[in-house]
Amino acid sequence: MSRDAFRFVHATSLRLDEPLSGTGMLSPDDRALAEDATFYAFEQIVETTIGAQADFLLLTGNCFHSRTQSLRARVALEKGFERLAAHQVAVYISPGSQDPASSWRTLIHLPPNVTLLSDEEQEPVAVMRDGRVLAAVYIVASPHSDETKWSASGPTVMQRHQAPFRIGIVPAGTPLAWKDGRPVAINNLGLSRAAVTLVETAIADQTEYLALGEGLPRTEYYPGGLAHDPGCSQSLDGTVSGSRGCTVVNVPVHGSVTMDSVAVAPVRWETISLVVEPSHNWDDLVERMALAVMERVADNDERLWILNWRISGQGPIFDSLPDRNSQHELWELVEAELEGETDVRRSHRLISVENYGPVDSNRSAPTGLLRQFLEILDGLDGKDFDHVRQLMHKHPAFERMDWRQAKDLLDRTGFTGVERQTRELAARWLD
Amino acid sequence: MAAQGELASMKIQDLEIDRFGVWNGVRFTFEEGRMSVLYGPNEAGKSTLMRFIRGVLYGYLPSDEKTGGPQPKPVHCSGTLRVTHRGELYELRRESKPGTRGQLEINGRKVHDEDPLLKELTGDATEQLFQNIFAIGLHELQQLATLSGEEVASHIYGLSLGPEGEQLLRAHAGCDAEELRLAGDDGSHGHIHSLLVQLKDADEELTRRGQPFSRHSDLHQRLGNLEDEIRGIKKKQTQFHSNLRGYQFLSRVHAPWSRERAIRLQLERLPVDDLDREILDRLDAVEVELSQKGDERKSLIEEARKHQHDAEQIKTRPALEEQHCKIQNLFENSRKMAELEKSLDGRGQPQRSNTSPIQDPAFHSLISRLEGHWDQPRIEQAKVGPATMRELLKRARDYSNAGRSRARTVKRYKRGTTLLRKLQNDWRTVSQELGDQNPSEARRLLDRRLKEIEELRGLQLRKDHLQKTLELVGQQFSPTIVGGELPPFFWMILWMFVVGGLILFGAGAYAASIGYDGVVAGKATAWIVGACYTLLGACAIGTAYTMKRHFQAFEFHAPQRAHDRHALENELHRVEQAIQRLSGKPLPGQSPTALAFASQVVTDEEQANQIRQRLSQLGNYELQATRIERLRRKLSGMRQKLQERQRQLSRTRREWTEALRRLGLSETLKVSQAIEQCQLVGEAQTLIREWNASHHNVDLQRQELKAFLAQVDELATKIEGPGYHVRDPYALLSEWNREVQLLGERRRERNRLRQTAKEKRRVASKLQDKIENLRQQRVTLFKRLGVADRGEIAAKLSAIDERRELEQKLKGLRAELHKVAQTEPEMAIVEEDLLSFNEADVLSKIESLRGKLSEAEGLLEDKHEELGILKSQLREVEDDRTLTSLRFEREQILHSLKESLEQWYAAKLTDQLLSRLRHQLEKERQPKTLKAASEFLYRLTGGKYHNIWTPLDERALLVDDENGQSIRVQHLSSGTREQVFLAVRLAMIRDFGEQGVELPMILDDVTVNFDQTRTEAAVQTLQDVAERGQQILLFTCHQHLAHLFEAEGIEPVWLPAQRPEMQLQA
Repeated sequence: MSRDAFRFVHATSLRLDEPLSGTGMLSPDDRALAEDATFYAFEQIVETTIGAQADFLLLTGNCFHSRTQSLRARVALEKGFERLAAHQVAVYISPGSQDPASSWRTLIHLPPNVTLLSDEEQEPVAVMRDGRVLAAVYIVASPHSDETKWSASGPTVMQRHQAPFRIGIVPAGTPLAWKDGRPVAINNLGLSRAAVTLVETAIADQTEYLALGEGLPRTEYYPGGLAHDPGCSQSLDGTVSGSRGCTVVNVPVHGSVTMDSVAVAPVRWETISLVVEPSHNWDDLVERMALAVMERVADNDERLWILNWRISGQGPIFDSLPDRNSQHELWELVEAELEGETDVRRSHRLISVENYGPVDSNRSAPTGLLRQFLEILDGLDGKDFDHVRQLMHKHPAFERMDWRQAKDLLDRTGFTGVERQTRELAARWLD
Repeated sequence: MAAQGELASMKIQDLEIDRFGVWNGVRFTFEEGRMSVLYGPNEAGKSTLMRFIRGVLYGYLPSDEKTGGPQPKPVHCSGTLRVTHRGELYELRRESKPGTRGQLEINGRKVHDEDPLLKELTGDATEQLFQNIFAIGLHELQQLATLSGEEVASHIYGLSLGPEGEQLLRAHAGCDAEELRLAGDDGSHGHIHSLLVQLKDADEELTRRGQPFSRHSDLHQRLGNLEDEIRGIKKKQTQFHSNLRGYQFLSRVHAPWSRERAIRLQLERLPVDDLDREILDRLDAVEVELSQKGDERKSLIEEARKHQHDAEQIKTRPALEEQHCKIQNLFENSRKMAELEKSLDGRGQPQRSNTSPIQDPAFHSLISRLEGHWDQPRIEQAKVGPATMRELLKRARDYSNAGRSRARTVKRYKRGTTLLRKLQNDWRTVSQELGDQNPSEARRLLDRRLKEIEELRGLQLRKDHLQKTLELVGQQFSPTIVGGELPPFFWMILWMFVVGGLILFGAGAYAASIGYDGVVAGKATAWIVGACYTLLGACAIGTAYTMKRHFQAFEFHAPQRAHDRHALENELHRVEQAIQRLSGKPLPGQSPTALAFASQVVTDEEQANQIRQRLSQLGNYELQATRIERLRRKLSGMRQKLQERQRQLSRTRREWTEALRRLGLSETLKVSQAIEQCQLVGEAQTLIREWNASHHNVDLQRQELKAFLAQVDELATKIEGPGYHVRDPYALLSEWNREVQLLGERRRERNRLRQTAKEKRRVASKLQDKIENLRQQRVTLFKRLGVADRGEIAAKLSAIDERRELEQKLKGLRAELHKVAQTEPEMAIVEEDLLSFNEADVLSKIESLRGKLSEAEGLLEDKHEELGILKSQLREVEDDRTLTSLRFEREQILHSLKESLEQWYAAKLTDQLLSRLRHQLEKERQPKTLKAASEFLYRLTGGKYHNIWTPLDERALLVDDENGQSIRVQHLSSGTREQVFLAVRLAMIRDFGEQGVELPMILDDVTVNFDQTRTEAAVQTLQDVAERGQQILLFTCHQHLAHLFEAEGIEPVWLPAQRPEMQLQA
């Protein structure tokens, strides 16, 4: 089946009006920017879609959070859709785990250019231009995919549909992960493997473009197509760093699909690791930090960088880092060093201080008690962590009503950060 | 060591009690080097014996010197202990002395309890230590507190596990502090609590504000309604505007329309004549032109007829004309063909002697230079070209490079192996020299030896010092009084004090005796004054005496010669033994013979220097070993590299030969030869191509000539007729060509004449059409004028002029109307409206409409204002960032809370891991005493308990059982607990022994709570301890225990029963 060349913009996890987390202290201007960052990002996505003369905009979940029920998010979406409608640009939306279809229907007024896809059993939607079908868009799997609830005909992906170009959507919150370029099930009790089966079917069926919506940037190639996640349009915390935005997908008449990433997020997160040697002085440290910052190139739309520093090492300079005054002085020196380098504003945070560096040939490994401690720590498994959590549950504080939220948060606390902090504590007290 | 220990330790040989407790005039002798068991029933005086030994060594207690009973009476205690120490016998006798703990005599010499000899005998062990560790009864054994004294605890508990233990405790404390900071005691304070409070406040604020959906919807609804209203008003307003404009337009149009209507009616009355004067002129011109064209036509027809006649007179040859193109072509080729024929005739028959280029000498020469069998097909098949040459050269270059690279690597590898071989040879020499030692071990031994030498030198200095001291001790000393230097005023003050004192004393005594009451009234006062004077006098005398004693002289007492000499000799003996031990050691790396020689001729200093030199040399050896190891690693790397180079060479050679094979060349590894061969093949291919090209041309030429002649024959048949014989085709072609040239000129002339005649006829024909057209025009003009002749035309011209004037006026009025109409292009007025137009009526309607419009505008303005307010409110609601800001604030608090919980989690985890680490350390790094005690316990309990340990930060003992479970001693059964304490004491006694505190161990019925198995184990253990040199006196009241020892070959001492019934039984 011959196809026409076309172009579309793929964006996901807009999470409009959801707050950024862990920004630290910000100036009033930066704070205002951080508060409205998701809106700026969405505006830029709309502008990019219009500017790129795209045929349609594809949103693959978590555009907003139904729990928040933000009026601003609703207004922003409606205005954005109206603006796209004015330029005859269609919008295809698949609901994610945070913005279910019911929320879209009740909260957002959708103009005619917007098509809301519901789940994997919905028939493919044809993308048209001048009376010709450009592509078929359908949901491959959804956050609630469950084989027990499928109809007799089964999900769309299991039926052979003919289209010049097929775009399968795996929206945000779909319970699967990717390993070695293949979808794998998330090993949680109560989660169905149906989503993985559906995505594997789509891959086996050589779906030309699998639009992933989890918000974690990723591109996986397979015979006959590719799976792509442009990443969240604006990272809400430091877990996703670097420039964030959307992807302009170009589909030629013949040949492979090409993709251009367009950064739209005004706030960029960066986590930078640095090792401080005992021989270093302030100037050395400042210079190295400035160089590390300068290695990163600012995108046009970026206006604020939140730099999370993870510093390890030894020596007097290193020892002075936990002091807040020293940190303040350090940030000022780094900013002075970087003056005139980039137009973006920067906010620095020291998130981790480990008083020994990574073990390599030039660095002696931790010795004595610390080494033994780390050996024990390395030998721990999830049960040990859970045991400690159970011990914490016995603290009298958790009997209080006002600590219920703390208990929930504690139960959701992951092991990675705890392990890292444990290492830091041990290094502080035992080295 | 045991024998040496036995010599050094104090051992009780016998004890002789004159009077102590129940004992009177008894003597017990203990067998040396064996365990002594004293059996006696209850009240036989076993504990009294133990108290007696302690009393002799440390002094009797007041309770020892009193009788029992409700009214105790003083008892004079005395007795003697005969002990051996360092091979000498000492007799220690203590006798009660009131106010003291008894007078001690050692070897008949009265000494006080701080006497150095006594301290040496007891190892300076305190009485408490002796009582808690060495001489214990069941009571002491059962009490954990007896192990808690500082002196004892330092051995058992180790106080700490060193800096690491302190670090662990600090870390634990840090974790606790962190936990307290974050979570507080009960969650009512602390960082997390404050964050929770902040979070709650933020949540409440968010709940209070809520989402403004209803307000937004309400505003939207109101906005929609208002916009509908405005649209309605605007619609009405438009209607009013339209009507107003209509009436205004009607009133503006009516006046010009009335005038236009009047002229229009006047025009209708005039006849409509459309006669034009110009039409008359045109009619005249048509008639003149008609006459001229007729004449011209006649002349042209005559000329055409004449040209046609001339053309018919010219003759031609059609057959020749038909073939003139072919003739032309053949004629043009005839000269070339003639030359070709001539040249071919010159060549005659084609030479077919060289049927193959291989027979060409040049080609043959080339072939002969090529290696292998080459023929024409093979050469032609060989693919030699610039691209293949380039590829061949590239392969050649790769091959050469790979070869050179491999050669370089081989060269480097060989250099490396040579160097390694040389270093290994050197190293073999070093290894032979070192024997089975490695340099670091040798260095360690030498370092130790160097320290020993330094120690030896110190010992020798000590020995000299001791020898000199002994010499001095041998000399006679007598008490000496040395006068001190007294200041001159001393005697004066002394006498002043003495005299003053005497006077005051006398005065005081006198005043007291006579009852002096002169100054102060009262008899009693006089006594007090007297007493004061007396006291002052006594003080003055005392002061004077003391000053005299202090300043006047001091005494030297000669040393107690025998005792000190003995101590010095012992020390000298130890020093000499140490010197002998150290001197006897060979120098590491030297044979004993070499040592003998060295010890004779080499001093310690020289030996030390030799060792230092040797250390330096060993340092070089270590460097050499390191270098060999490094070189080995490097060679290993080079071997891999060489293999890689070899693989690369094979690969490039394979590619090279493959390239040659593709070119069809013989396989050779000589690059230049292959290139030369390739070039020769190329040249041969060129020669073959040239040969083929030349033979092909001659054949083509012959075929061309033959075709040419055939064409001429065929043409002659067509032109001259069948049967015509062509003798000279070239001459015939020349003749035909000349004729064709002439025929061409004739044909062109004839054509020209025909063309001219035709043109003339065509022009004549056109003139006839024009004449007809002019005639038609004349008829049409008459018809248009509506006349039959020219007279009727003049009458009509005057009516036309009048009508034109009226029409001009009408045009002006219509322009005026059009101008008015343009002001309202959308308006249309029907004539009926104009006919029924009433000016007063229309003006009234206009006024009414203006009023309504004004009213609508006012209303619209109000509605717009309301709309603006609503839009502003809507925008305000939509742009309200308060909730966003609040949520942002809440998220930051939540983030801090998560971080704090993570920190708490980490602190808790760290605490748990520290506990594990601590437990691990507690298991691994227990004091030496407890390790030894664990061994004893293991034996005493038959393997049931194997480990005694103490926690890091408390004075407590824990015992691990066979299942690895740790139990506090308090939780053990009393028997096991006693076994633990016995084991601890045995270990401590061993420790004290190593520190020089070597006292007999006295156990008073400590095994009473042991079961049979453990009692036997205890017997065995105690025997083993005794065999190692520790004297043990075991008192028991249990016959089975005494028999157990008896069975082991230890004859118990059977104490006489003190109780009457027991004596009877005996």
